[in-house]
Amino acid sequence: MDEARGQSDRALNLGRLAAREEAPPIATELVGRAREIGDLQAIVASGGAAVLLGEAGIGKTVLLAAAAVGRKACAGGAFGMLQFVPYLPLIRAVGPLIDRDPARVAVEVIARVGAEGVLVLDDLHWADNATLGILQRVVGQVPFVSAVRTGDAGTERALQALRDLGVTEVQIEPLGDADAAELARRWQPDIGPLATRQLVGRAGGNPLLIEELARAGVTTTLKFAIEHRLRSLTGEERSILELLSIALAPLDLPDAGTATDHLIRDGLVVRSGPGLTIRHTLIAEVIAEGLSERRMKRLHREAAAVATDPAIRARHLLAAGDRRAAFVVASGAAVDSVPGMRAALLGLAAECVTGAQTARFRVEAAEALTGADLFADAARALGPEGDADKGDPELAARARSVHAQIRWGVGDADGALASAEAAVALATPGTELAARLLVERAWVVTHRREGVRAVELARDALVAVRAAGLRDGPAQRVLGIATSIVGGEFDEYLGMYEAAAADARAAGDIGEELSCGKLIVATLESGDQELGLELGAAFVERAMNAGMVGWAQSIRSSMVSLASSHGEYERAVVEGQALVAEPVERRIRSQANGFIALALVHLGRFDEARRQIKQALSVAPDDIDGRFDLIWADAELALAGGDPGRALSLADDVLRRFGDADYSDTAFLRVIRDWACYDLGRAPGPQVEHPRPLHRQHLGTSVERRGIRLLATKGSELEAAQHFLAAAEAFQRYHRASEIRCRWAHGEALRRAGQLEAARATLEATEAVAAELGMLAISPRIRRSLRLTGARRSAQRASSGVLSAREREVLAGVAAGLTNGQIAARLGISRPTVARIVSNATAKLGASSRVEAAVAALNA
Amino acid sequence: MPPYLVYEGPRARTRAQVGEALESARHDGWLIVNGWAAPLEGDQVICTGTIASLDHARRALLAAISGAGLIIVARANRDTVDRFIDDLRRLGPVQHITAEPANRSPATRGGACRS
Repeated sequence: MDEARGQSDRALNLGRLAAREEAPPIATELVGRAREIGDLQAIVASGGAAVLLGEAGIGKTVLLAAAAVGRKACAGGAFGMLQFVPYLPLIRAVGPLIDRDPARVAVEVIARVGAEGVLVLDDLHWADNATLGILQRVVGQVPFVSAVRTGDAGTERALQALRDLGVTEVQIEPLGDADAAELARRWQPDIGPLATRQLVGRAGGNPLLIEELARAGVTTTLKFAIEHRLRSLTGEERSILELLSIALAPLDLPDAGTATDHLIRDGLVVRSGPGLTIRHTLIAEVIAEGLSERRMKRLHREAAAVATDPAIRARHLLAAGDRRAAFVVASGAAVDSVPGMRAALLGLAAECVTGAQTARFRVEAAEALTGADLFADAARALGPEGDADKGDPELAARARSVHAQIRWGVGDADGALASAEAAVALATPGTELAARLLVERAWVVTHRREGVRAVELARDALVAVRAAGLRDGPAQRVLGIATSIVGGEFDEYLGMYEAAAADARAAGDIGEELSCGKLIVATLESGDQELGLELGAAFVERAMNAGMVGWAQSIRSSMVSLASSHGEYERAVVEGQALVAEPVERRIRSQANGFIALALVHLGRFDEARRQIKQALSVAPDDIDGRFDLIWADAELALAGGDPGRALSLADDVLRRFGDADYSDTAFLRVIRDWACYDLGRAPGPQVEHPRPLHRQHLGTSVERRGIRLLATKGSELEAAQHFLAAAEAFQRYHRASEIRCRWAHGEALRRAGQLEAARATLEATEAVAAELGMLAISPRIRRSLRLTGARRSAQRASSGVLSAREREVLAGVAAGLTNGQIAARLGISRPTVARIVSNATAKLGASSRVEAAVAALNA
Repeated sequence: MPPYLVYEGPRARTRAQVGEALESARHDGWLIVNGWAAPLEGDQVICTGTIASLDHARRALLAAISGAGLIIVARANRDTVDRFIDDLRRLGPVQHITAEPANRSPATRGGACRS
């Protein structure tokens, strides 16, 4: 230590410490800190003084730099290891000091900073007393900004010194979830919504942790840094953190006192309802990783003792190794719980159960869980396939049936069928169980899109359940789906779903009722879509009240598709993104991702759509049900993005692979294929119709495809126009994107037929509707057609009424001559977001450049 | 901005790593100084050595404050090394090279499953 002291003196005497008159380089696009920057800059401009207070990594240093932008910044700071060096923060700020006398030091500092400069002192919790003492002579004489870290031994001392001087305290709070997600995306642009949500939770709104996690994950260095931070805690504080680190939910600690208050003050712990939780789950992970198995078990016992939720208590007891107590708590609580919670508790009890009834209990629990649409939980409760085959064929059959659903849920369509067939083979024909298993098998075949066979099996199952005296609702439901996919009458299968739902409701079978509800919502995509959205919301609420989160998510996924078909693309994206940011069953995730991507394509947000599709395809099930919507979105993206060759290739691939499947939406892909051929100037070939009668939603596809062929044939343009108009009217109630495309094609066909006035009127009307719906993807086609009609276009023609408030704000920045980076900093959003908003707004206004768009927005 | 490289791990490994880093720095025109002598103004100096105590850490830090880069092996106790790196980060990005990465999945939290 003496050598270090000597060295420090030599260094100071030699004057090798250069004053830093420039603020350190800062991120010009600080996310979510616009208010703090504004406050600080105002304080500096008025010659005032401020101290930023916050945890390590919260962004104090970059905020200090931002506060000093535009002024001569004399910036320095203290070091934890060098508190013995007098005036070190000041020397780093203004350069070597001639004298050590406080009065003369103060004069020197004031002179070197000057009224136009700003004194910036970071990490004052580590500052020596001499530096803190000088502040009383400096504050008020020059603008001054500083930072103090919470939770350090020197925090209170530094804060007290600053408070005595009346320095304004600015608490730097953790970033909110939206800003934290924005920051994570900046470091990892391809990050998915679920991964973003996990990362945000782990980082607890701390920008440094977000950056480190997004860039490199949990490195040893990061772990060391966290452990270093925890080392200053007292034993009692550490014990509380250890308990909270293993807690599965916020814990209400009855004896929490001063230690807890300190942890909250230092930002390590936050209140969540009546309980407490660690703010950064990453810190919880690091603490938990360092616990011995014995200590971990003891903590789980402690947590079980204070947990109020029986499921949480049971989980802690299980983790503590007390399976019997966990079983008693879980199975006991299941009795009075709502259905969804009951299924979860039974599943948990099944994991804990021991003894002769284990296999039966596990099967029953798994049945309850599949009834709640929770396949992953059911798989855990049931254990490996074959475990229940212990001499009881009935139980084995039931277990196989559950396995069929689980396998379907994880994307194994062939395995699902094999398990369903095995279940039927194990059951005694003519029994209630056999009838029930026939329904389950028909369900699997139906979902494999084997339409004709599905109808036959569903009819057989319906006969069997009626013969066995069972409720026939489930069989009607499956028959309804089978009828739907072979192109049966809309009213017929909708009626079956409604009858099945009524049957389930009368029997108090909420899982079955919600299953029917999901089908009704999905079916209304070809019916009254607004009613579908309304019913969907009601079913979701009913599912949530019953604790059936899985069904709620499944119905929400159908609502995303419905919203998109209805032309509510922004809603589809927002609600879809919220859904996939939750832990969701694999199939639901895949479908929802497809619906989101399609909506993004229609909105013209191609880069986001591309990312969404890429991420989702990598984890999607490999059958048509798991992949179709994603490939459809990809093909739409290629077509709208000016790559018809790729669109054609994608469409051909998927039609080759799935073309014979009873999957009605392939009709849309046939349309994409034909438009891609048209764009490429190629003959699309003979019009191969869909193998089954089409649903109402798809009825327009056949007419549209005929229109495309006519449009490509010289002399048939007027006939093409009639076809497109008819197709647009067929689509109008059921698929807005197809409707708008057909309306554009109608105008284009009229133009090519030489009816320019009519074409112009059609195209302008179509442009207005597309703008209202936010459909930017079709805009270039409409604009090109309009230009070719000889319409005189200018950016001022379009109204800025279609712009969102944010778009107007961003364009105001453009009009003021700001760069994207400057606009981003001003609005507290990222530069890529600004670029996207400018691009969208420019397209909406029909402007040819950002400046033209800004002028148009101002003039409107 | 001078480089700050801190190595931790088995001796043979860190020796080789530091050797490579110094060679590369020399190639880039840095003057290598064994120990913690502060550089003369304008020199492109990298101080190298082993931090085995709090005093070493402080001296290395003072050298860094004076403008030197650091390529060092850390062998002091955990608390000293962590404090040193925490301080060094005030001056610029620190490359902290340890024996093994510690990537883990968030699912390991608490060792128990979700309810």
